[in-house]
Amino acid sequence: MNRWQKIAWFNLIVIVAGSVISMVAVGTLPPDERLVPPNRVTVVIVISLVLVGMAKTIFRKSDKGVDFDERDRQIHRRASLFGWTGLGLGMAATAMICYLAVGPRGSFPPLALPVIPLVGVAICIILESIAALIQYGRAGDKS
Amino acid sequence: MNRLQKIALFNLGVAMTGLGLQLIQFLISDLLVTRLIASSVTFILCSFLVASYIFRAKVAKRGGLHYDERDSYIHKRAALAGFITFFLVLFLEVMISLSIFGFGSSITIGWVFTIFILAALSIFFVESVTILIQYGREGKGEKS
Repeated sequence: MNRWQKIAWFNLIVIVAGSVISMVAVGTLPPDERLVPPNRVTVVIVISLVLVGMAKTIFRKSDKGVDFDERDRQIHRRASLFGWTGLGLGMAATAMICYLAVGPRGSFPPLALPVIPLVGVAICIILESIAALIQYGRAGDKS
Repeated sequence: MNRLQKIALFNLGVAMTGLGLQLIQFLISDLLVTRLIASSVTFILCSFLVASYIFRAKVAKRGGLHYDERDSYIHKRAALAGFITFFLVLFLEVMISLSIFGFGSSITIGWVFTIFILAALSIFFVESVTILIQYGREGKGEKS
């Protein structure tokens, strides 16, 4: 497993775990405190995003040899496009879910709005990591 | 100018018109008639954009002279730029909405759709601009 596969696995695990913990945390909070930051959900989200941001620092480049060649570039470009397309579709789906939840004349608190980009980011990172891992293959290479 | 550049130019024009209409709708949000007209025209423009996207996909699928490796590379990069812009625009709109409405109030579902349409139009706008920039101002001798 090369460095980029490790980063993809790390991001995937962090975001999936962060999403699950956030949902559990939302369930444990009283309804009127769910959308009032800062609360325990905010802390989980911030920690997850910081960890994803630090992935390249955690998995440092080895001193020997090249760890990012033309093939890796191709894989990353395709994975990024896949992830960002998923983000667009995911956010559109979130808007439709909001519409179905509140109805055509419904309304909701503005503090619920930041949830939409956050869901989008989670979908983007998950899909990007999965796309990278699939392209590298199950066994991967030793570079 | 090749066929793909012409499509990008067309998309740019349509997206700019849509963005302008949405801006008018945003500024004159009290008049129901204005909102209705702006929404209807934006919907028609979005249909044009979708049709143009399908046409481009057909050109890409056919390949050959009209769509080679370089075109594919240019379009992938442009699509990525478009989606990143979509996210940034959406994030910005969410922050602006929060500052306008405040924490205690409520927003209608129509407002959420306006936010999404603006962000979606920005995809086509930035994608088209990126394509045109990458092909270059004068073109490199491509023929449609």
